[in-house]
Amino acid sequence: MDEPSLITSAQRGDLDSFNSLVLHYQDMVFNTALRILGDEDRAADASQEAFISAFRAIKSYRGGSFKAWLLRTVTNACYDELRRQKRRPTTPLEPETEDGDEMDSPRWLADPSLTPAGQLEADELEHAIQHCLDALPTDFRAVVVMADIEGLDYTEVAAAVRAPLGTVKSRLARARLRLRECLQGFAELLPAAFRLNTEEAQA
Amino acid sequence: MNQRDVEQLSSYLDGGLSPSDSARLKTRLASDLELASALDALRAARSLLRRMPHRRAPRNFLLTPKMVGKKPPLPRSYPVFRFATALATLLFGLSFLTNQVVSFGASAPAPAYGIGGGADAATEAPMLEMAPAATEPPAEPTPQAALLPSTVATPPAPTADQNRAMEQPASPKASGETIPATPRPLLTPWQTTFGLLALLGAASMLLIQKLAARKWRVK
Repeated sequence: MDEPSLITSAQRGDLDSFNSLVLHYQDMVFNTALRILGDEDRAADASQEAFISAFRAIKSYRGGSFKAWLLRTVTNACYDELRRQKRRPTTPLEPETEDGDEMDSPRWLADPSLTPAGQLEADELEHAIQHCLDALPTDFRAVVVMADIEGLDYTEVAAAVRAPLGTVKSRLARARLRLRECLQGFAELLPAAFRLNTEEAQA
Repeated sequence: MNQRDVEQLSSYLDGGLSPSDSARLKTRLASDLELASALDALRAARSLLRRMPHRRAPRNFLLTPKMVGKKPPLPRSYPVFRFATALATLLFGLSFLTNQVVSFGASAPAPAYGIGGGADAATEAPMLEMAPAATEPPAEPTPQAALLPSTVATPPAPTADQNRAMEQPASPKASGETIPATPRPLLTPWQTTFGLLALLGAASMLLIQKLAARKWRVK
């Protein structure tokens, strides 16, 4: 993918070029939105909104990391969604099993390479981490998602959240510490290596 | 251990410290168990986050022209049609207004023609219908009269008595008669032309828009 030429074409209004960029980045955008919002449907809505906003604002892109620029629009879309959610709180509808019980781990999210027991553990751990992420302040959450889940470097994160490098470092350190404290409550779900560390820390 | 230590540990974990800061921290870590434990905790949190499964987008987020409010590109001749339509509409409106003003000005001195003067043709019609029956066949209606609404009666041709009466220099006031108003067409030829041009222009613009949208969708 020739990213610079696609961006240039998109800046001239070529929607097909922009859609090529969408196809390339949509998984990253969706995953970021999912980890910030903690809800699949909202994350999908925010991702779509983010791409629409990005196309409309692409003329304002002046070089640098396109990934970071795109993640900034995603973060903004997520913040908007969170504000909306705060104004109109809703109860998410979980899919139900045949017996009518709520399904905690929807089948379509299952990883086929895992055994049922392994899948269950992985799902529970993921839920635990997501729960702890949701408990973080929004600014901290965005930083930790971009740095530790999406693997952006400090400079890219700073560009994405429009904050100084020092602020990013500080938010990331505090977010990691809070996550660690939160995850201590789910010690039985954590992998063995992490449990050992936990026990040592508690000793 | 303070907040600054935590930030340093976090940066150290990501390799974000300068070599000198890194060496200093390593020395402290060797002797400070609490600091070493905090580093392990941060490392564990980071590794757990990195193990989070990467979810794929549930659908494609491709954009459509409608989503981004894009409109189909219009041909270069489109602005000409738009300008012509706007001009024709403007001229139609102006000529209509001018006619109204002129006819209003013309009807103002009408009272000089007799009692009840200034009334329009429609109000005079009943009086004209009450005129004595014509002994001669009515004259052929003029083309202008044909444009008048049916409520406006065509003045009958003057009878012999009336002709005689007209020859006498009697004042209109004294006889109490009124002069029939000249019938006016609803639209002048210019107004008709401008109106038709405006309609034609609007229809052409609509057609161009539809064709461009269809062509765009096919593409």
